[in-house]
Amino acid sequence: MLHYLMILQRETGLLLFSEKISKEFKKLQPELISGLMTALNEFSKMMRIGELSTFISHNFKVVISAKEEISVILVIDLEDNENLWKSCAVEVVSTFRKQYNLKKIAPIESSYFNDFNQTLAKILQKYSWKIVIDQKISLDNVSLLLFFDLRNFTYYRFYSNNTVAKSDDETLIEKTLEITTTETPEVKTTEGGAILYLIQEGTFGATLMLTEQAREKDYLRVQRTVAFIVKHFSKRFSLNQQLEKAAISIFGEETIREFSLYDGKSIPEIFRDAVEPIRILENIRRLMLRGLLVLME
Amino acid sequence: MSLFKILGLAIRDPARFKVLIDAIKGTQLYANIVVARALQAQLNKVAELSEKKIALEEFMQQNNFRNKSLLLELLALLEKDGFVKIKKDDFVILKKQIVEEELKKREKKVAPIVLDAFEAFGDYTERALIERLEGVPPASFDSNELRVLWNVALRGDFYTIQRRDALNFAQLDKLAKRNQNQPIRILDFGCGSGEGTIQILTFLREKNIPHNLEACDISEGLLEIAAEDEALEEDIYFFNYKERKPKEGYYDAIFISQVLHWPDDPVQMVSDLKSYLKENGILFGVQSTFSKRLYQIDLFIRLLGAKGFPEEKEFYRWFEENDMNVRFDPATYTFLATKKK
Repeated sequence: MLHYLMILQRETGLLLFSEKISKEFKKLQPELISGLMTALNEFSKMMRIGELSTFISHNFKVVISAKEEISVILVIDLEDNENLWKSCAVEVVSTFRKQYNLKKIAPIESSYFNDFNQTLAKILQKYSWKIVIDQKISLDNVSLLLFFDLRNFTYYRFYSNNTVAKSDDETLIEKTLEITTTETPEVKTTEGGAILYLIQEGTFGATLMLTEQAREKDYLRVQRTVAFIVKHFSKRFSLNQQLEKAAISIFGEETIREFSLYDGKSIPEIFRDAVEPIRILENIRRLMLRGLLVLME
Repeated sequence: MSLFKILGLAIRDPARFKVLIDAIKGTQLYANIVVARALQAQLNKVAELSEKKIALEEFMQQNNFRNKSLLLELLALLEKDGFVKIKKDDFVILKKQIVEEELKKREKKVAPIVLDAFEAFGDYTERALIERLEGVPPASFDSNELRVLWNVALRGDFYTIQRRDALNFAQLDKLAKRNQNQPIRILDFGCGSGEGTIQILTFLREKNIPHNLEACDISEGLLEIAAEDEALEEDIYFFNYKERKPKEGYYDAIFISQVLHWPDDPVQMVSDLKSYLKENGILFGVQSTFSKRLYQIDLFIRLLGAKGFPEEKEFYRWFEENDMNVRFDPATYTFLATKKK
């Protein structure tokens, strides 16, 4: 999470604006903060324009973005996804520079920028996770299933009887972002006895939490469905009319009739409208595997 | 010999015999319907001509057909159904317009076992038939929708019953005993979308035969359906035959169902399969041979790109040339081949 944000004038190191966001950071000893601030100040002066950097200090991760006259510094948790907060830092810098004509204001007084807190709140809102769907599902061995969309910081939560606290959602999403990379977009790991399957592709991702009793054979299918959903998150599906007979022959009339209710809908819409979205999407994966569906953007 | 075996089947297993007859009659009937549908528009135009008659060459020119021998084959089927008359291969005379209503009536007489397997192929085969007449070569075995059509066919009873016959014919329990209950290594060669592989697995489990089951095909798309859906939860190793060849002298048994009529050189394919077998290994499966009763199926698989069913003599030759003994049941088309000692 974001603990602290400050905007400095690069040339002088003057603090233009700051916002303590987390309780933890507010509780830190003043000397510690002052030491950190000095280090950050010196560091920001050394940075080149347009540069983005991160380093670790006092058990926090620090993200810095420098642009022309100012630097923005974000203090976040060690396990946070730095790419995410780097985007946020860049957006803060550019919005700040647009809102104030820094060349015309002289001498600069920090109180002048106090009203930036309203703008900042709006920016940060974009960088905080919003839950779109919170739905109970019944899937063997699955404790929790989160799908997230980085474009608008929304996520879809499906939980089973072994309910995992909602407060853990963001940590799990952040963990997924942290562990998965372009080279290894799918990772299986364990945590606290649970099996975690983490996947990210582009701006979409998912966290699948399975009970420790689950054997690989038991969750292969749900794992494939989750990977399919992440891969096609923004797509829509339509039945290939030429192959309708074949589709009915393999899947039966009932399944195809059920699919027709979601024909042309995107995955978030299916999440919203279906009683058993994961089952519907598994059928869609199976239909796709056989080339029975047409994909639409 | 073949007739004798079929009658033997009728006495031994009347239910299986009925299925066989339904399948044979059904495929004949259904294939003729598909041919009639494919050529319906072109032939019905002949009704507008005087004497409802057109020279074959002119008919081909009008419709951009290039393959005369295939056209004659198809017209001969329609002649038997009373739609046309061919006069000395020179003229086509329309005896009766081809009306969809009548075709639908005929379709109702087709046995469900045939419709389950091949109805989905109908539209595709009509298009393929016209393309072959126009001289367009067949698409690859699993291109586009063919992949899913094979998936439909291979799931149906038509092929399931054939595979069951082959599994019984091979007496795998004897093989397991000979193997002193060590897992038998078995390969499903040309597994397609995995329905047959699952059937083999179920059979082995039912018979308590310890096993290591592998399956291969040349179609990436069909293998994907097999590994990612049909057999996703099963302990079966699927691999692409184009990318990896099976180990030589490794398998106790290789199963192959209706594959040998696809390659250019079946003798070579049998030779390759033999090389993957252990010294006492068996090669078994299903392979239809050509006969009048299978003419329509043979025609259809040729339209889809296969080389056609072999004559029974030819089938024996494939194994003879590879120094293998083969037992073949012409009633069920099951076979079992072993290396000659």
